[in-house]
Amino acid sequence: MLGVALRTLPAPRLSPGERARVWAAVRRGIEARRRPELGAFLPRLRGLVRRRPTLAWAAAVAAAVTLVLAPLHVGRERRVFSQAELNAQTTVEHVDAAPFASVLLLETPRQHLSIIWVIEDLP
Amino acid sequence: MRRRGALALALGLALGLTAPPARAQAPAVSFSAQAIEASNPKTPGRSDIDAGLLGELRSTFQFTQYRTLGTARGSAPVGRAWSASFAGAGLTLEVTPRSVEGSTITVDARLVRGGAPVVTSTLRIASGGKVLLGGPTIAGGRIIVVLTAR
Repeated sequence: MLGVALRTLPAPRLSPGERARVWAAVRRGIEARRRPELGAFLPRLRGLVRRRPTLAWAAAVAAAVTLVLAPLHVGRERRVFSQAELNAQTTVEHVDAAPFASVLLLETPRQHLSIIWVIEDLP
Repeated sequence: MRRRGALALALGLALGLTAPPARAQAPAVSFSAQAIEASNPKTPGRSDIDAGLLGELRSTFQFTQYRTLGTARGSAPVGRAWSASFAGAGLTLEVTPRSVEGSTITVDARLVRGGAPVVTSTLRIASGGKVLLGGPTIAGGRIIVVLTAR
């Protein structure tokens, strides 16, 4: 009986402003559903992993490669030395002077430059 | 089987990440020799060498002026000599790379005047490192050669 009574009630007519507001609310609702939520991502991922366990294994391998091997690789990268460090690693192994000359071996204090200083006893 | 495939992939990735870079084949050693005249003129002019090097030389020697005479550049494979003549000074620098181990270059270097060696030395130079050979008298003062190998 109530249904019949309701069906007989005239539907209210909406003004253009009200109609626009209703449609705007509907659109907002659709957009909100479409937007991905971070909170929903993890349960979805968990579901995926439960369905395909191999994926979990692959993720573990990827994490191991990234966390263990990548730092090792970075550690093996060559260091860039400063000029002073390069000079400090440079050594004079052996020096011979001519019979008419004397040799001094010096090293500068800051840049560690090795200096072979020859003093000639020219006639 | 899938796990084995994934394991093989992971190992391949790991080897790719940690493998050392391919070595270049017997590279030629590049040299640079900058000749500097160190002197004590009555009215010292402006020294025109690199400020860092100038500071090092001033803290070691008592010359009042350091002037660049020129820079020679070249390269030589291991066992072959490279030489640079400083015509105004009557001196020649002869450098022969003996070996290259990693980033260390072993070279024989000598300063020659009129065909006779003034000084002969064996140096182990870290690639990019510098060694100074100096002291011989030239017209304006003393010559200093800054030798760089890489």
